[in-house]
Amino acid sequence: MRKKRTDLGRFSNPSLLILSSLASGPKHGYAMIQDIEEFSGTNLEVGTLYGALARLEEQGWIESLESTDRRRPYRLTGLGLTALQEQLSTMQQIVTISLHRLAGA
Amino acid sequence: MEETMKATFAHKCALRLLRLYPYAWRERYTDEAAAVLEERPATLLTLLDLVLGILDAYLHTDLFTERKFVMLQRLRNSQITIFCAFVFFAPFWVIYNVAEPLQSSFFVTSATPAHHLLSEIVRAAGFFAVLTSLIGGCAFAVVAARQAFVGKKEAEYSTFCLESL
Repeated sequence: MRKKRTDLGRFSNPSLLILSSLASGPKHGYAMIQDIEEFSGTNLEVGTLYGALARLEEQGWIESLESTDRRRPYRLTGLGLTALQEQLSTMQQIVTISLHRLAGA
Repeated sequence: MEETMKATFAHKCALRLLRLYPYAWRERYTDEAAAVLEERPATLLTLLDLVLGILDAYLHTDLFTERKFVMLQRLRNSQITIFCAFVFFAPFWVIYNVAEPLQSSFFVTSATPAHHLLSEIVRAAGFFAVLTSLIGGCAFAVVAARQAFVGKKEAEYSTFCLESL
């Protein structure tokens, strides 16, 4: 059995953005790019987007839906939701501690 | 004007770069990626990102090899469609042949004995094929139709509708 890859490498940040974008509902590639640009100011390029999507699909964190007119929507799976919640709580913890330390400096 | 030309050139380059991805990747993502590129003007950064994406795709081909089952699934679906189409066709073929005995007998009697023999062989082979497909195929068609309706696969509904026509 092939070992599942858990390290998303340079796709970690785009993956988090994609998961956050899909948390509000299924979206196709272009809609994800627009949404991510709106809420984070990050401009995801096509190569990075599909590299991250392939990894997220392999992890089972997202799944593709029936494509309409060459646009294939993706949605978050239960596993993806859990992974997103875990990542966000870690980030929340980092933010809280960092702000606390910054206030004390 | 110059901007548009640059955008068009970059877009063409981006589409060409998509063709350099591994086959399995192209099978899975090219259409979607091309659709995104149509809505979003490609820049030099897009091209650079695609080049990095190509390298990454070749370095991690294991990410896409599992998608081969999708192609096999498509092939299997096509075979099922053809088979089910024949199963749907079979009863109508039988009805047509039963309802048109006079026309057939006219052609047979007006032809030579060799034609008569050939016609009988073709007819027997046709009946044998129809019966075989009905015996083995009805259960198969029912299962495929049930899976399509239970799984709410709209694309497969339409396939069954077309087959019925």
